[in-house]
Amino acid sequence: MALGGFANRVARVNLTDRSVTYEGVNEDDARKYIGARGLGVKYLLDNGPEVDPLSAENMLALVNGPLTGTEVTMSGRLAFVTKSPLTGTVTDSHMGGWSAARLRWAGLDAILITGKASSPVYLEVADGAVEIKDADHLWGMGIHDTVKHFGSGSGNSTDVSVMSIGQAGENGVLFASFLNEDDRAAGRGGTGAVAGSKNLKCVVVRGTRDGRWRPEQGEARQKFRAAQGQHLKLIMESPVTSPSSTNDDGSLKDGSGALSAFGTNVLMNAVNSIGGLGTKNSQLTQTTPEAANAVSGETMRDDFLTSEPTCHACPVACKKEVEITEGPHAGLKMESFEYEPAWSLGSNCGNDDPAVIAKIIDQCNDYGMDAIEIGNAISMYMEASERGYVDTPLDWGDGAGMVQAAEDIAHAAGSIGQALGQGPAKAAAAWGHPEISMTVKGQAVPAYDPRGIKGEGLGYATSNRGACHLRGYTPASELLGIPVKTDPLDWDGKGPLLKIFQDLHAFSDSLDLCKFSAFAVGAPEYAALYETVVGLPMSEEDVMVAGERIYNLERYYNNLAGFDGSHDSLPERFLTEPATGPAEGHVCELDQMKEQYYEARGWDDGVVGEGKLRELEIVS
Amino acid sequence: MIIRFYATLRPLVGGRSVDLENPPETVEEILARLSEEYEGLHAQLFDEDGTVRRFVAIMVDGRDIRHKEGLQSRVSPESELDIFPPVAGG
Repeated sequence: MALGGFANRVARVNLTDRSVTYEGVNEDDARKYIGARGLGVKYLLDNGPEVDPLSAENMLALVNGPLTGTEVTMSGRLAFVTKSPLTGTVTDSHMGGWSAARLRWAGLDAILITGKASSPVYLEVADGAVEIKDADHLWGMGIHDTVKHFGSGSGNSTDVSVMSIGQAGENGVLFASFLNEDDRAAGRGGTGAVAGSKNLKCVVVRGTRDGRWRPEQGEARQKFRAAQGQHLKLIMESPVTSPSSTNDDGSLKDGSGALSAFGTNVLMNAVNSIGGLGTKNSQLTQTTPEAANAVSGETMRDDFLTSEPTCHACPVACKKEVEITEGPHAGLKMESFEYEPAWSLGSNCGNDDPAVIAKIIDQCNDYGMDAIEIGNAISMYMEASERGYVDTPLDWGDGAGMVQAAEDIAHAAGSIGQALGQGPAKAAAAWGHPEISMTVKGQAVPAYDPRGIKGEGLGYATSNRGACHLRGYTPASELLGIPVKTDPLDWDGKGPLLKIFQDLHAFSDSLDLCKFSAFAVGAPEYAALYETVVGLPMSEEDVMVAGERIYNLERYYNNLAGFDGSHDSLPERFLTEPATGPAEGHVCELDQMKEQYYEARGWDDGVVGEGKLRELEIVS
Repeated sequence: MIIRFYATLRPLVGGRSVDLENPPETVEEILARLSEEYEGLHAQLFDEDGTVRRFVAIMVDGRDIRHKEGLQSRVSPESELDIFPPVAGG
């Protein structure tokens, strides 16, 4: 294969017969589906969309993009693609950190894992080869200890990265995750549960920068330098993504960007101020300013920050390491106190104690669980308690009870822990009250209430992997004004707007670049980077067509797996129970938005037709 | 009137909020008074031509002034103002 950026080496691992075979990347697929997310979904489609997610037949694909491991800014992402046991859809979940780059440096574009080992195993990757090794001694170990066992770390201080599941994946928690380097998660969709069902503990990758892709000398090198230079310049100069730095007294220097200085959790106060912050399992859409501020990025920086690590090739460093200094969790040092879990375990659970949030995020990072899903599971349990649906109640804001619930979920302990470990949708249904589960296609909603930020409501409903803010991040427009400012309380026009975001993100997820790049750059920069690395022509329009193709490929998979427009829905609460706070009286006008969206997509009630599949060259 | 500030704006006003006595009636007038009192604030909120900088969000009672009457949006003594520099996450 003549395409640049790729190692042109894919490992197929069958855990049942413990075999490993190697092949190149199919050039036609790489041209159409770019890499990472897009290419991963193609592998999944070829594996069959009707497989049981927890069966040996399901595939777990770890797939890099053509930019992975290069010096391109924000290129440290790896896609985990599988059929989700939580939703039954195809899902892709991406982790930052250093594992993605190291996998590429080790000489592989992808590892495609099928089968089921008869006893626990792990994969060791080096020099383009994969070995299957016994993992009896690792089974039952948390992710922190597993990472430590192999001496993994971030940056270039080590040549090894470990991507691992924890006890949750071993115990069948359906929202179990993979993490690397202690705290960087491929959080959503239950990729860790799929690994656990295969008796796969972790993937250990050894590689150094010597293995990275570099442009040839001469004109190609100059073009690459120019494209990367422009990409970096825009990120460095954007008021949204510009890196932060401090004076000698610790104060922020002028020009420090808020995302870099405060992390993603700088959104907490902003979303709350407009009435888009789900509170008490989304019974309300706003908490008090004091409660929001108590767990905000500003408070974490002022009172708890200890360091600001970053991912491969990223100057933004949005990750914040914090230390809890008082109370029952004093001494806890952890990373990834992000906006999403700060919400899911904060106002969503009626909790304003940052120490409790830090503790449960750390449990998620160690046991391997999706921190969005667990917050929604606990908040659903709290509402069930309030309404008298369960015999062992948990009150809003009961921090100790929340920590214990997370412990029970990870270890599938007790009837409550076992039920919640299946996700809030299945648990609420089992308790006879599916209406109190804030989920779409079985996956819990993130931190933007669809009544206060309506484009996200449509985004949750039409996401191909269940409720998700990252498939089409309309808050960029509805909050910030990228590419244009739209009113978060207006539904009209959100269908076509969402399609643009979904298609653009599908492309960047396939490169695989961090989503935050889209705050500073867009299709022109993505096209230039692709052209100069891969070596194929790519226009701005081509970027959007490729993104549309990938989004439709996922939808096609889901259609074949039994999904249609009836599954593009929202919990009834968002459609009929009016918002509180500044969005008071508003509900989410999903049907109107869906009509505009399907028209923009050219879909018939959520189904991709034969004509669209041919138009996008998904089928011939 | 309580005006709350966030993120990189807080150091400029020395805290989380400012209590403005006898507030004027428009956002523009309020920001002018604040800019006089707090050094460096004006440059964070406005471009050189006097327009609000892109991505700066000024909320009156939870509504972005870009969806009201902009700087001419009217406020009452009971109004709540929230002022954000460019913030993003996900």
